[in-house]
Amino acid sequence: MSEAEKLDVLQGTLDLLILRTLQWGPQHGHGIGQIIRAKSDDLLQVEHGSLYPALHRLRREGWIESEWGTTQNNQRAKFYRLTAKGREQLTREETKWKLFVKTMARVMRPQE
Amino acid sequence: MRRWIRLWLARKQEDSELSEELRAHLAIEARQRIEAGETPEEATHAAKRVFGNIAHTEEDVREAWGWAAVERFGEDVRFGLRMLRRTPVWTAAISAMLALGVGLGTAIFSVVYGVLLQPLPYPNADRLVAIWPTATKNGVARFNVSAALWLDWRKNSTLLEDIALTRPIANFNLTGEGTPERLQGARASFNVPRVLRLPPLMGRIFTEEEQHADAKVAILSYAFWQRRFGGDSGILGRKIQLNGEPFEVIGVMPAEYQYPSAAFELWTPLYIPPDEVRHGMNHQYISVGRLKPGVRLEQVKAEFSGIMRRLAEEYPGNYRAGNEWIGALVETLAQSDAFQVRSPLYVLLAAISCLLLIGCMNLAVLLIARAGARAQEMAMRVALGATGGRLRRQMLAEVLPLSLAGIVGGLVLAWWILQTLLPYLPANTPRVASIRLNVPVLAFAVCASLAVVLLASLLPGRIAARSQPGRMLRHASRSVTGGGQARNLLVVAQIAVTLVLLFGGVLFARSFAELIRVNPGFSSQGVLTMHMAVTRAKYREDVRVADYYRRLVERVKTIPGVTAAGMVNRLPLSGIAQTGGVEFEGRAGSYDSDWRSATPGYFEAIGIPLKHGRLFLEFDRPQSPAVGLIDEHMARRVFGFESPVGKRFRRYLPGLSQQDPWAEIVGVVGHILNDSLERDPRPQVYWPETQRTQDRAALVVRTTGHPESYTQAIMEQIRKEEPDQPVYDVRSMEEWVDRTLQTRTLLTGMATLFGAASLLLACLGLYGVVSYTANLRLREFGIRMALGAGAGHVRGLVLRHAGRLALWGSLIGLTLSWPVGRALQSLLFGITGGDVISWLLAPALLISVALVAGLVPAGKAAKADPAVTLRSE
Repeated sequence: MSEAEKLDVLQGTLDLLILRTLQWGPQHGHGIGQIIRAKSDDLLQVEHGSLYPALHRLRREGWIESEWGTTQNNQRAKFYRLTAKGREQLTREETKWKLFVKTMARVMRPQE
Repeated sequence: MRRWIRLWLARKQEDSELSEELRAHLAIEARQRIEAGETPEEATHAAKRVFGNIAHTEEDVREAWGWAAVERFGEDVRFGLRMLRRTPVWTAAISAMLALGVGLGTAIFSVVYGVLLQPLPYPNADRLVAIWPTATKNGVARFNVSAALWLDWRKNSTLLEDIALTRPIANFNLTGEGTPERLQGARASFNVPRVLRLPPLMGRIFTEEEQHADAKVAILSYAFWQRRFGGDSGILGRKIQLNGEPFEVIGVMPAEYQYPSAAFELWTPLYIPPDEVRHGMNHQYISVGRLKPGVRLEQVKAEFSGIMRRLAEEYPGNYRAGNEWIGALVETLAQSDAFQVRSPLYVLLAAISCLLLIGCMNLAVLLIARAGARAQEMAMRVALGATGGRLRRQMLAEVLPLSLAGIVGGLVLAWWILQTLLPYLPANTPRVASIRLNVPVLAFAVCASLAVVLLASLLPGRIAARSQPGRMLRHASRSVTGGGQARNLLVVAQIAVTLVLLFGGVLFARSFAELIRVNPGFSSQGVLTMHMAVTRAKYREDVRVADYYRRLVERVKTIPGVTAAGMVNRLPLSGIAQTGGVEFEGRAGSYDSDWRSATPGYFEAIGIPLKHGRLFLEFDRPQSPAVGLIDEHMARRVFGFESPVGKRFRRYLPGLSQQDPWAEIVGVVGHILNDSLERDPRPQVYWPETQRTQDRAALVVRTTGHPESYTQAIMEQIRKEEPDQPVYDVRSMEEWVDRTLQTRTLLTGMATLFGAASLLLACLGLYGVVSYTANLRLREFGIRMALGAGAGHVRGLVLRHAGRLALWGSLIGLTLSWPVGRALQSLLFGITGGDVISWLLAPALLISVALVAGLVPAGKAAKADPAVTLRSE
C-alpha cells in the first residue's frame, strides 16, 4: 500500500477509537495501536506520539484505568481497561459520531 | 507549594512509567516478529525501526503533557539571568528604576487603600451613611446637623433603619488620680452603637432614658481604657471625675469602634435641652444612619431631598441660604470620613500611575535597544525555526527576573517611603493607623511590577519575531535594525505623559505659591497658643470664669520675653468655629459672622490691627455697658463709609424670648481668615470675654524668639493658678498655619517629585534613543563630513532629532493637559486649570531639558573622525 493512501486519524476521533477498542476487553497500548490498524485494513496508522498522550488524557478523565500485567506470551505490559464512566462516554461519543457521519454523508451526496 | 511538589513527583513517576511502557511494547513487537519467522536480530532492528526514536517519542508525549513548556520557560529564565549577569550596570539600573517606581506606587496605593478603599470595621459597613445639610450654590458642601433636623429626619425617614446623632465637640477635663488631662470625647445619642452594630466589649451602652435624664455615665474607648487604666477589667462601675463631676463608667467599646474618629476617647449621653429643639438653631451635630436591607443610596437621597423640600416650605426662614433651599447630602460613611483627602489622594495615585507608565515605556525602549544589539542572535534563532510566540516567550523569560527585583526592592522602598510620608499626611486623614503593607498592598506591588515588565517586553518581542533572518545574517550589524520607528514613538509618548505630569506639578506649585502669599490678617511669627477648657463645676458663675482667665493672662504676662497675651474662644485656623448671625440696631436682616469672645490682650497678642475706635479694656466688666468690636469687612458691608463706632449690634436669635442686650461698637479691627487661607466665608464680630463668657478658650502668647521654648514657663504659671487645669493642643501659630497647608504641601511636594522623576526618566529615554540612532548613523555622518559638511551641521542633525521628538511629545502632551487641568480645577487655588504660565512653563522646561539631553550625543557625533568611522566597516 502506498503512503498516500494511508489516512490520518481525524482530530478528536482517536479517543473514540481507543475506547471502542477497549470495549472488547483490556488491552495494552501496543495492542490498541495494532487492533486499530488491523480493523481499518491498515488504513489508519496511530502514531506513538499521539497514542500515549491520548491514553494519558483518557486516564486522567477517568474513562480508562491501567494496570501492569503479563501478555499471553508472558511479557510485561501495561493494560488499559474501560471504566463505567468510560462506557458511558463511549456511548455518547458513538451516538455523536453516527450523527456526524450521517450528516456528512447527506451533505456530500451528489445532487440528483 | 505542597501541591506543586506533589505534581512534580507525579510527573517523575509518569516519566519513568512511560519509558518502561515503551520498552515493553518494543519487546512485544520484537516477539511478534520472531513468531512470524524473523531472526531475533532482524526482529529487534525492525521493531526499533517501527518505533522510531524512543527518546523522540518520549519528548513528543511529554510536550503533549504540557511539561515541556514549563521546563523550556525555566531554561529561558536561566538564560535570561545569565544575560542579565553579563551586563551588571544595565541590570542594576533597570532594577533600581523598577524598584523606585514600584516602591512609590505601592506607598501611595497603601495610603489610598488604608484611607479610602478598605472597608470600615463595622458589620455591613456599606449600608452606613452620613447625612449633612448642604448649600452647594453658596459654596458650602456640608454643614452640621441641628437637633430639630435630626428629630424630623428620624421621624420621617422610612428607608433608614435608624439615624444616630453625635456632638463631636465636648469638653472633658479628667481630674482625680494622675495628671489632669483634657479628653477628646463626644456626646452621643443612645443609638450610635446600635446603628454601627458594634456591641460594647464590656458592660453596656446607655439607654434612651439615661440620654433624656442627662445621666452621669460614660463609655470608654478601648485605647483610652488601655492607656489610662491599663486595661483594668474592674473599671465598670467606677466613678471618674469629668469636669469636676463624678461619672460612672458603664462600658468599654472594642478597639475597632472609632466613631467619629480614632481620636475619640470617651462618650457620654447626648442630652438635648428641650429649648434647643428649634429649626435653624445650633447646627453642631453629625449624624450616621443605616440603610434598611435592599435600599439603595439613590432612594435615600431622593427621600431626603423630599424631606428637605417640605422643611423649606414649612420653615422658609431657617432652610434657606441666600436664594437657595438647603438640601441634604447623603453619602456613605467611608466617603464622608475621607472627603477632605479623597481628591488629593486620587490625584497622587493617577500621577504615580503616569510615572509607572513612563517607566514602563522607558524599559521598553531599553529592551528594544538591547534586542537590537542581539539582532544577529535573534535572526539565528528564527533561522533555526523559532516561532514568534517562542521568541516572545523568551524575551519575557529574560526580563521576568527584573520584575522580581522590582517587587522585592519596591516593597523595601515602599516601607521606607511610608515611614517618611505618614507624618506629612494631613491631620484630618482618617484611619492613618491602618495604613500598612497588607495583603492587598502586596498584591498591588506584585501586579504593578509584573504588568510593567510584561508590557515593556511586548514590543521588543514583536520586533524580534518580525526580524528577517536572511537579511540580518547576510549584513553585518552596521545596518539600522528594526524598531527605529517604535523607539521614536515610545519616546514621544513618554514625553507627552511627562508633560502632563509636569503641567500638573507646575499647577500645584503655582497654587501653593499663591496660597503662601495670602495674608491671613494676623501675624503668626513668635506666637504660641494652647487650648484649655474651664472646669465649670469649680467656676460656676461667668464672672468667676472671666476673672480666672484674667488672672491666668496676668501671670503669663510676667514671664520675661512675653510681649502680649490674651484669650479667645476659637483660635483662627484651628479647625473649629463658632458662627451665627448678628443684627444691627435699626437695620433689617441679619449678617452671617464668626462669633468670638476675647480678652483685651488678644488682639495685640495675635497681631490683629485696630482700625478705628478702641479695643476692649479691663474696665469692660459684666456690669459695665455692653460693648463689642466688628471687623473692617463687616463695617464696610453694613455701614459703608459711615463710621460704625457708637452703633449697636447683638446676636441674631429670632423668636427667642431671651434676647442679648445691644452691644455698642467701640472699635473696628482688621479682618482675618478664620477657616482656612483658601476661603474667606464671613466677617468677624467680638464681645469681651467678661460680657459673653465661654467655657473653652485658647491662650495666645506673643513672645520674642522661639515660641515653643516658652511652653514650660507658661505651663508653670497656669499650674500655679490652678493645678487641676488640663492644657491641650499646645502649638505655635505658625504650626497651625502649616497644618492648614498640609494637604497642599503633600500634593505639591509629591506632584513636583513625580514631575521631576518623570522628567529624568523621559530625558534618559530620549538620550538613549538619540545617541543610539546617532551611533548607527556615524557612517552617514562620516560621508557627509568627508563631502564637506561641518561639525555644526552634524551636531544640528542630531539635535534636530532630539528636538523633533521633544516637540511632538510636547504637542501631544499639551493637548492631553487641557482636560487634566480642568479635572484638577477644584484642587487649585488662585489660578485656573488653563493657567497660561503653567501652559508655557511646563513645555519650556521639558524641551530645554530634552535639548540638553540631546547635546551629549550631538557633540559626540560631531567629534567623530570621518576617517575612523568610514574605515571601521
